[in-house]
Amino acid sequence: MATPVTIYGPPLSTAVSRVLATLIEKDVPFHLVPIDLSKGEQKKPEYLKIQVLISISVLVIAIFIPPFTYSPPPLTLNSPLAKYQLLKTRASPSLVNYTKF
Amino acid sequence: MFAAESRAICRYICDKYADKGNRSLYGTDILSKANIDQWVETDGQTFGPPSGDLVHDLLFSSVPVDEALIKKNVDKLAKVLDIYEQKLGQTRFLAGDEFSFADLSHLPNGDYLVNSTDKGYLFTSRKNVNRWWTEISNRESWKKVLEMRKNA
Repeated sequence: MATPVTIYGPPLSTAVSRVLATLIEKDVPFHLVPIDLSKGEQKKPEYLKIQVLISISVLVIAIFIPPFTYSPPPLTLNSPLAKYQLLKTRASPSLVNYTKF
Repeated sequence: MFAAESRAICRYICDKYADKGNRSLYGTDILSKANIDQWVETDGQTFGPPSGDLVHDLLFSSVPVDEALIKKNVDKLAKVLDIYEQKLGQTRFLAGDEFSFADLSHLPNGDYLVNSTDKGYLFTSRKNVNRWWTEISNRESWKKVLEMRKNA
């Protein structure tokens, strides 16, 4: 039994629902961890770490697809790059950013 | 480490699980993939920005609506949908006669515009776009996503 894909993000987000629809079309088992943006859950330290690490957009917090798993982030929240990325994702929530780092 | 915008994540999923589920979702050869990619790019670069901005401004923004900006985005989207209207007069779906990720990628913004704003006429007033929209938004996969939203 393969490890299912894990998605952290609110299903109301367009980015998250695009990924969910694709997983369902492809019949890939997945686990959704909804994050309530209205409660500021995305700002919890454990998600901020993931957000900086994966850096998809403010609305898809993270997606883990085997064999990729969570490992300690290469950046700290205090680094200028991390601050810039968080600022950028917050400033333009309708846009998705970044490729890799 | 993998990180990407949502369309890139979806393409990765399609390639990684190529043999599962809907096998033609992201094409079955390099030519069909290129054709699908072309319309995914159109979504990301041309359809996505004005529709995403409209969804944000009309549904999720906490600041008052800027009518001039709304009109500008409606005009931009109308131009894109005119091109879609023409294309969808030739083929059943954007990348040909099979449903693909190119169509799916339009569902999130399209759904909010059609069902939650007063801009749905942009879709429903165009004959071919309306036929296409009705078909893709009734996919079982998309209905499941909407169910998940209700239960979240």
